[in-house]
Amino acid sequence: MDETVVEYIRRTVLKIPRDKIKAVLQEWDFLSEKQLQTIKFNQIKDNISYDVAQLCEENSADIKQAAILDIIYNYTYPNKRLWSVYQMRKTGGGTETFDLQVLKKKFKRQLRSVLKNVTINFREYEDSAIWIRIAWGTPYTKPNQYKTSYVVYHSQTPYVFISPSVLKSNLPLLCQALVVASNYHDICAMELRSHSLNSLKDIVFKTYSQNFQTYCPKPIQERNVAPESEDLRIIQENRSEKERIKRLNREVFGDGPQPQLEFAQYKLETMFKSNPKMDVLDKEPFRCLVKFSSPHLLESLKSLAPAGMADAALSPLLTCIPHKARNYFKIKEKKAFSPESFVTR
Amino acid sequence: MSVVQPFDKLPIPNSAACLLVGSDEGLQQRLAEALLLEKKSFKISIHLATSLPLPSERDHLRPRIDLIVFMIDIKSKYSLENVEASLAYVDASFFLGKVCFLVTGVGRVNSCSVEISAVWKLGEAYCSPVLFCELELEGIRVATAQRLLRMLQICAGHITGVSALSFGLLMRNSDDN
Amino acid sequence: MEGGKACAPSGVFAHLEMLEMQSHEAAVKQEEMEQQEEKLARLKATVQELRLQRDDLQAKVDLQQKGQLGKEGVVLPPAQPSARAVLEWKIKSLKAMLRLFYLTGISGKLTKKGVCFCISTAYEGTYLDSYYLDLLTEPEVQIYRHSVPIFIPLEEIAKKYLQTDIRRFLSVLSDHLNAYVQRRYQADQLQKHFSDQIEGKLQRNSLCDLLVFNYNVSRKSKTFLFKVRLLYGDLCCSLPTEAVVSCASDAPASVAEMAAAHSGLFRRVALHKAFRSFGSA
Repeated sequence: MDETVVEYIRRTVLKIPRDKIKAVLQEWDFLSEKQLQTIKFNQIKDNISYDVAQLCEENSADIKQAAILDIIYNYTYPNKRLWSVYQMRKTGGGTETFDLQVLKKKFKRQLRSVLKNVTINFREYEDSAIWIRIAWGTPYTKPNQYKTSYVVYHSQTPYVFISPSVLKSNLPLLCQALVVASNYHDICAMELRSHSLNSLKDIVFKTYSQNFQTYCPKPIQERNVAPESEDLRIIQENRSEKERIKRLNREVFGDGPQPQLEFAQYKLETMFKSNPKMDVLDKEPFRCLVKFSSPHLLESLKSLAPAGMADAALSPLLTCIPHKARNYFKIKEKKAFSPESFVTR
Repeated sequence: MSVVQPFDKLPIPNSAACLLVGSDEGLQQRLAEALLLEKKSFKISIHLATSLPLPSERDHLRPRIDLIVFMIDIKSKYSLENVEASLAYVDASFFLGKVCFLVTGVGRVNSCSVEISAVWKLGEAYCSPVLFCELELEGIRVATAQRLLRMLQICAGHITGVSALSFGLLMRNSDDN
Repeated sequence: MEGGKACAPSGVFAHLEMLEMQSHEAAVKQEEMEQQEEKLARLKATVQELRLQRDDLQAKVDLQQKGQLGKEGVVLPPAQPSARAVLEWKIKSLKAMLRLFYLTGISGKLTKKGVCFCISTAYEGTYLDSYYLDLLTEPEVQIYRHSVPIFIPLEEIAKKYLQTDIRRFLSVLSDHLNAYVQRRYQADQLQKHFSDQIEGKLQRNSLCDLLVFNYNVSRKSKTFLFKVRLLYGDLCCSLPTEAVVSCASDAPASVAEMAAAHSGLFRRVALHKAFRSFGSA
């Protein structure tokens, strides 16, 4: 019986909000219904965690069970981690049928061949996503269960969502294993990061609210109804202007809720252009970094124009975030040949 | 680009019109509602605009404007810039007592992004009173509404013996102290 | 005033303030009443106006009915509709027609820079998801943005047909999307209605072209576990090309036969329908 495993389970339980502990343990399905009934869920979390630890000791839990609990916790609260999106590329075309078992086997083999001391665990979810948890060790030390990497992969898509471990050096290993396991040739970061995993999925899978023009009848929404309290003695002078702003805003953002991102970063690298006589150094590019942050960046951008805080039709640099699927940008000088590439990859 | 004129139309008996200019529509709306709630002896019409100039297609519908209130939110630099840009579209004779600057958000020192001195300077440059308030608080909103209504009454000429100009001067004198 | 007396000890100013507040409250209330009255008057006037309008229309209808009953033979010269009215009517019916097009599954609308297509998918008379494609037509046809799922091989299809045959492009894409949505729908239905027969998890991938699950079959008061692996080799088809149903090796021959029969059924009939037929059998 490994003491550290039980301690790990106990600490994981402590991370869960108290009223959700029971549901998570039920999903875990390691403790029997009878054992669960012996736990008093209304006592303080510390005591609950000791009770759970005791039961796990009785059931002689191993690291695999502990890892599954951790995956369930991370699946239930994905916003606790920072996720970044990676895109994989293939040189040849052709889609082959995807088999999860093959992927698992290949991934494990690839990683183990390089590093013996790793814990790898998988868990599949209904939305055809597979969650991979990796705890890293070194050739001489056991895997550190508290500094894990998480990978969420949807089969048959070229995108992987990685929440890297604090031990950064393992990232290349992980990427390589992923590429091999999923039959791709290349992987690169997409410069798209957020805490909200679901929003990242919405962006790269293009299920976020986009405004498409169609003749399709849409369910009638009650957004056009003027508020009843409108008094005849209050006259809106800019009504038509407001409607224009509303229309422009809809064209850009659509009707639905926006994906949740916390920041967007723009790095400016342009040359200083001056009169040659002034003799100002113009070899070095200007460097400037602008970072927008907000609990819900895209929603705040969306409400800028209607709130009268910015002119309508915001800069495409701000509104292209979901379309380009990135929130880190490098802005370079316009090249004479490609006038449209104000944003370079 | 039409400039707002104070005397281009005939006044309507027993009524007054007030123009609120500001970029924060929510606050504007709430102030307008507070103005309507108050007891008054005349017919009021409140015109809301985010900025000037006013759209010219509604010129013929608009009564004579008696008082222009420029709303500045102390938390938003944009609101001040907006007001500064709008001032160009006001006829000079309006500044003989028929304009006031309403600064809201006062007391929130932490999120202050407009310098008070800039607002004072604006008031001085345009010979118009600057009122400070916090429209988010109901009590102050009501008091502000009462104050504005009184000014509107004077500006519309409903109070015998006091003209907008004399009232404006009175306010200025008290400012200088 | 009793309230006044109670407040008096705290000072004259407090008392005055209270009086002021009371007067303000009364004034606000009075103003509100006046407003209410004004509003009522306004609404009454509207009602009056609408009544008049209704009476007018009623009279017209009456007259028309009387005319039709009275002199059936005499044809009244029909009021010639104005050219404008005819035009408006035509535009209206055309718009309605365009709206109807979405029933066909593929509809489009011209945009400023190109055209936006909508592909609506359906299965068994139920409309399922709609997918959109925003195309630019200048300088050449290209996809500007879309909401097609990433695992649909859009790029490949576009490479083949987009420049040469847009009809073909849309129909192939529509086939892919429909088949995908139909496969997904079947799997969803299976999970929704027959979860009590399924043992463990239903394993599927994003494109829903591989389904692996186990289900229980009871025969002669004994239950047997069948393992199924359905492979949809044709991505434009909602039925599997390969269906493997296996049971434990020690099961009686009749059960093995049944597994073979099920395998045939899965290839021919939609998944949830096949399960429904097990239930009834």
